[in-house]
Amino acid sequence: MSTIQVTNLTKRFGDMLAVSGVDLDVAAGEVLCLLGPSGCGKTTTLRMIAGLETTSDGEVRIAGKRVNEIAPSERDIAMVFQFYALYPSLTVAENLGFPLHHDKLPQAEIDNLVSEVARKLELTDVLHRLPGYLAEGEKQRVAVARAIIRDPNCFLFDEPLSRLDVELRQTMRGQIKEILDGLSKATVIVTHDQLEALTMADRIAVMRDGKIEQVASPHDIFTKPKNLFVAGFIGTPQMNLQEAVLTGFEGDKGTFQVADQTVAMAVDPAVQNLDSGSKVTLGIRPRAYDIIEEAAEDTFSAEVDLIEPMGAETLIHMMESGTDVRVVIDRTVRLEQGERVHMRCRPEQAHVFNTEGDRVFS
Amino acid sequence: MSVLMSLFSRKERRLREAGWGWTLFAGIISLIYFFPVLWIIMTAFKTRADALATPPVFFFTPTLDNFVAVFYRVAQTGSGEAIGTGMGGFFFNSIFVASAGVFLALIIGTLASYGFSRYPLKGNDTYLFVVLTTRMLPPIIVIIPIFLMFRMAGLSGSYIGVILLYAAFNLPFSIWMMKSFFDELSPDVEDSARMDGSSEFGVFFKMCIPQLKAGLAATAVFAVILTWNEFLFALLLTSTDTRTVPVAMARTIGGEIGVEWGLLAAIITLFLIPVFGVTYLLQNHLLRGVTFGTIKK
Repeated sequence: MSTIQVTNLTKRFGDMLAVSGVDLDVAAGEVLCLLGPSGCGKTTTLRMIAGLETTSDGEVRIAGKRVNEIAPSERDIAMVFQFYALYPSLTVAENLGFPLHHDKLPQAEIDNLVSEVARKLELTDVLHRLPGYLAEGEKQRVAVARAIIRDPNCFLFDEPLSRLDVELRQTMRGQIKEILDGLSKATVIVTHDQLEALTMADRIAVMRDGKIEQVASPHDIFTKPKNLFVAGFIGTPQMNLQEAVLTGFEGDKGTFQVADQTVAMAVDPAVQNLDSGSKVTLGIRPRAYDIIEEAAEDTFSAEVDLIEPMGAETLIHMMESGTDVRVVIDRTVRLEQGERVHMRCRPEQAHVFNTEGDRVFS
Repeated sequence: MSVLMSLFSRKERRLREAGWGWTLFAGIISLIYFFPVLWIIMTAFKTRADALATPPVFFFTPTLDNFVAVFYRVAQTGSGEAIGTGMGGFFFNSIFVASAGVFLALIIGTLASYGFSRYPLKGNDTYLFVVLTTRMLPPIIVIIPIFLMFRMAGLSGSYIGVILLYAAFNLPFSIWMMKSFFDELSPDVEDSARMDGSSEFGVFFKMCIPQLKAGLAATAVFAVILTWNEFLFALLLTSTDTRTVPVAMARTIGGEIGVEWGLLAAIITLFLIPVFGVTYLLQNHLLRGVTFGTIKK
């Protein structure tokens, strides 16, 4: 079985703890995205799985076998590097055939496999070229082709699409996803681009400061962020995080004091376990608001500060007592700068975070 | 004035392409630089009278006598029979000693710099600095201990001795230069090769070295030029058999009948040819290889 298991993986560089107690479990056919800001330890984690970096602590198992002491080439893993790492002095065909030499395949078989994989990734016309003469998209495809040619146990991708332009990125995203779907291997993709993670991953592991903050499906990561960091990191525009005070709980609605307005909102029932008067952070996504005509007990009002048209939608920045609230509305709704509007959060879209930054949920 | 203005004008040519005015200006400056070399080459073709003429002559009937004299001179005793000057041997010595020394320095230097770049020691920079300090002393300071060491080791006057010395002489500079080229290479390519099953030797020889052709060429050019012209060590550490051209050349300056400028110029002209050739050959390589392939920073 093609699986990757990582337990308590830790990496120290001197006094610096780069990766701290990471646990991951990637099933066969599953794509796991390690997502996090720069320097959060995601690439180090990937390199430890690959064997390019020693582990300070913890264990890496590939296909059930402990591989900590095994050289990268013996781990039966293929890795696609951020800058492709094509071999500059070898032609595309030689690049593709390179991993096969290790397996001591006869040249005829190598040629067969090379032409097969080249056809799959539309590289047949550039096989004789040196990597320096390829377009960005072609380089990316060569890197992917070189990874899949050996039919390894698992795949590792380090920021695979970061160097492509927007259009190419979309095409490649689809192409990589398609290829991975057909292979049923365990795959780990490192990225700092949440769109990449949300579209390609079966599960996402959000990392910060060497630790995993949450592992969940793209849907759950978006709708049920475990803490303030995940909530703020996932989603564009960013989730609105407002300081508030819980003043009461009635039925399924909590009452909050937000910037000298009192708002009643349907929130998770676990919120009623919090003491009245406790400080919380309210997290509401910019697309979870409806603009309404009349003020009501469940509305929040604010003044339009800045209008940013984004095409199909319009992003409105609202100001209220010094806090910025971002709301995304349909482009057909017309608002004026300086106008005072009322907005209501849709049911089950308001998240409450306690003082530790963890989401309160049952 | 308007003619001059138009020479330097920026109209009707692509941006950043030099106009005729600047090209001419650069040409004049280079001519000033190149003039001594040109004068030596001209002198090599002059008769003794032309070489010493005041004011200097630019137009003359060229002669090859000086070049013949480099290799053969008329015996001073007897019947004017031509005897060899041994200069051919000295040219061989120069070529042999310089190539072997540079070659050795490049091999050791490349391996060392790979180590310095990829497997840094604790206090890596200190080691690199120490390596360079050996070249901070003027050669004249170290020549006496080296001379004594060579005498005791029995290396004095042998090919092996001079070659080793030239290798050591080029090593610090080769290490520093090659290290900067290794630092430019993306370690990802090496890691990728490792994952694809390359051995450490494979990584070094199949991945790094082909990418560093330009760097090796550049280092070789500088090392060859430095070694080719080296005089002091060669003067003290070579014997009659292993003498290099610069030493032999110096001997012709102190002749009994004054300096034979024509002869000296002919030796220099011949002496320039190999180093010109090496530089020219490697220069193409140098320019071609500067674009380092797929990795962009």
